[in-house]
Amino acid sequence: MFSVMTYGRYAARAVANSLSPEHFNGIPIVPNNPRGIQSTVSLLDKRLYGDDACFVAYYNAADVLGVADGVGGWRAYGIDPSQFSKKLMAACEMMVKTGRFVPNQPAELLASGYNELLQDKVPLAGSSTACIVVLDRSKQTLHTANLGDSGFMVVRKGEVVHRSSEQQHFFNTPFQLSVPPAEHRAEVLNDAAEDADTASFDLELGDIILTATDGLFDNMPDHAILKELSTLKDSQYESIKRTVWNLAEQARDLSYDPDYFSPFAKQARKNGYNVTGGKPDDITILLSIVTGD
Amino acid sequence: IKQYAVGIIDYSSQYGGENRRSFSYSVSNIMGEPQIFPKYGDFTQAAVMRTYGPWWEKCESPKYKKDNRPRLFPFASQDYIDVVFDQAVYPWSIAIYETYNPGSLVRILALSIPLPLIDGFTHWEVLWDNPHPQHNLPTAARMFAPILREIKHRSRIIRLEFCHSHLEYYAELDAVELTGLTIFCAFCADSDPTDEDNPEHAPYPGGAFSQLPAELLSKIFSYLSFPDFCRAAQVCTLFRSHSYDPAQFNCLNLHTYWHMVNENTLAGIVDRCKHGCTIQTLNMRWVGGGDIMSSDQLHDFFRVCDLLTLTFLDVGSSPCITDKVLKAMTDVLPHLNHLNIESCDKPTSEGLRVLHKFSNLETLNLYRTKVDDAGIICVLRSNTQLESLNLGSCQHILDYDKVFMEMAAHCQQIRIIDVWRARSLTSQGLNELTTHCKHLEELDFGWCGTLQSSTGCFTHLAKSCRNLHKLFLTANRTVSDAEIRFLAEHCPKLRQLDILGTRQVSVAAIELLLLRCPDMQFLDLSFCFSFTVEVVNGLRTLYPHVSIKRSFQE
Repeated sequence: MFSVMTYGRYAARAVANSLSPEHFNGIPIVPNNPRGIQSTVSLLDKRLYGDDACFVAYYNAADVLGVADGVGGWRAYGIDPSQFSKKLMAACEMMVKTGRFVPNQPAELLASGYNELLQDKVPLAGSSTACIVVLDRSKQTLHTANLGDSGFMVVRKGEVVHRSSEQQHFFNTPFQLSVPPAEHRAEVLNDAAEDADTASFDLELGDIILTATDGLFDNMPDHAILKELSTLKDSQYESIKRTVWNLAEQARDLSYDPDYFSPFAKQARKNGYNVTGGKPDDITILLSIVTGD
Repeated sequence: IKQYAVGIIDYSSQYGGENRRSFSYSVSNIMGEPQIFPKYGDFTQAAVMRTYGPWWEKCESPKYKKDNRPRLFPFASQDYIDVVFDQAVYPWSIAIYETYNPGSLVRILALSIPLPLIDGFTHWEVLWDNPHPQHNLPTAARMFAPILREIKHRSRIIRLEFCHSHLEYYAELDAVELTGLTIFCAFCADSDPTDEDNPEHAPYPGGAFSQLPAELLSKIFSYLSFPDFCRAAQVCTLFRSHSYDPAQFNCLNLHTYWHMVNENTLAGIVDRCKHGCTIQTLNMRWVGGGDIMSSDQLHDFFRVCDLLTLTFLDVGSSPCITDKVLKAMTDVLPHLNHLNIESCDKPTSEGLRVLHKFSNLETLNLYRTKVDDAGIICVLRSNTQLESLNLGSCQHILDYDKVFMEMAAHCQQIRIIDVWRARSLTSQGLNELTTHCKHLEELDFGWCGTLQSSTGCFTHLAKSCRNLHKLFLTANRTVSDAEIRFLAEHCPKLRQLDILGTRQVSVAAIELLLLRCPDMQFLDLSFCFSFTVEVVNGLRTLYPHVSIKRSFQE
């Protein structure tokens, strides 16, 4: 069993300023902040864009993919949210490359990667969600661990057969691994890698595994994603790359469409926020197909 | 064939933690292909050793006699890493990738495993050396591949020896690449310098030398390098008697010749030390590396020789030190004052408990050993004159607070403490120590993440220890201005301070410290939020006698 994979990502930061805030009147509090910090901020404030990071690594018969979405609220503290997610993914990648992990324990891998962050001389601070997916080629199984609102989806013959679920404390405040700066130790949300949802599945030839941050899932409902995936005819690298880019572009376009009733807007309404439109955010998508040769 | 290292067999020290799961700054990063090269900086994926520069040696005062004999060859090695490769080859070239502060490699040796029945034992061959390390190399990553000597046997185990006392900051390595041939190309190979001293029969009487008074001849012999001194025994009976004169053995330093010491060497030394020996200082660091000598020989050495006068023993990083050898040491060395068994990983936690049988220790170094709580506590109780203790990276000690409390109760003369990476040490233990031990001078609390400044333990430390001249709080992210101000006010003798990685210290506080502590020599402000390159350069111009360090990643 082999797998072919590629990834595509968009960073939404640069485009944020061009949108007008009128569309978002009436939203008093944005909980996408460390707990306890209240601020009256529009959803569009670029402070709230986290920064995504991802990695792909191999060791023996295991292919490992990971995505992490840095929590944007840290900008208010003068902390760059992209550092945490980047370093977390880099640490997990190094763990995989040096074989310091067990394929059927992705949550353990996440925990080790997180612990390594504290071993860096550079004083890190910040938090992020994380989703780790391990393809064990020798046993044709998929082992997953998800903490927060990034996630994965396994698509077989055009249908979603497995999907991660979002873990949130409250609306727009996902579960997150964090390293608070020394001064703010008490006030900050800090979930443990042990809290991650874990699951393992058997894989079949032709399965498509999509791992992405909430930039995708908040802007494109499943049926739209499936529609794009159904255009994938073969497992050539070029085709996968094209599909991934199409997905990312669609998600980005939708995110800036103020009249589009995105999954994010749907969720927001359920929680009492009267809002339409997409959610501009970083979008990171890793696409992988199980092939036989 | 080109190959990268696939494993690490042994090493003398590392900056990273001993936890196998952790890779940050661990020597295991030297395995595999280069990850960082050609980038230059202080990265977690590099292999880093524990120390650099003069800062760890500076403070300790050498009370013990040094071996004054000249060296047979210059020797400057301070640390080593033994790497293993997949295939044994005749080494053609070895390249190391240095990604931070290059210029630390001083010697390369290969462990030759000759085909059995043909010739010789497993032995180390020097492939290259340059004991005068290069200063002032450009600050860029480099791949360093010195020209090697030819050797007659294949090898897959290479020892890299380093000297870093001339470096500005930590030396960091990315990978080591061995290129070699599987088939021997018959160039003209030098003869192996297998130096053994054989206590052979010497046939002739003294000749002209017998006219000289014995004391003069002794004096002449004391000017010989140790291997020459031993070989002199083969010349004539007169020389032999001087070579075997126990009075010549006051200080013995075999560290320099570690790769030549094997069973025969030890047998020769045993013969010389059997009776009337007055040896006081014995340095056998690294002896037995690569398992070229069995621990039984060393065990016999301690059992057979007369070592009552020995006060200083250093056997760091020697694979010959086992539980059995330790036990023998505790039986025959009642007057031992200084013991260094750092990085001896063969002794078990139970085996190390015999150390309490020593009762006159003033210095004890247990860095990277398996000593456990019971072991160290018993030692503390029986050695109340202990002045210097190194428990860095001792993974088997579970409750450092308890250890500190025992120290406070029994070893109040303690001056120098190194508890690098003590994961369980909190203010409870530290406060107890600082309340009762009034002679503290040097403290290394690097990477002790559980010490929080909010408990006031550091300010209490500053107030209680007026003689403090070295304080390392590396990667303690809670150090703030309050601590710095207390140090400035209460510790005027401060010479070395390390506050790497804290975001809470301001420039003003450090300026106050530099003003109030005129003896300051070393200040590490790496990865501290307020200390940009400009700020640090400004401080350097204002205080040129202080070595201010500022490491970087990008």
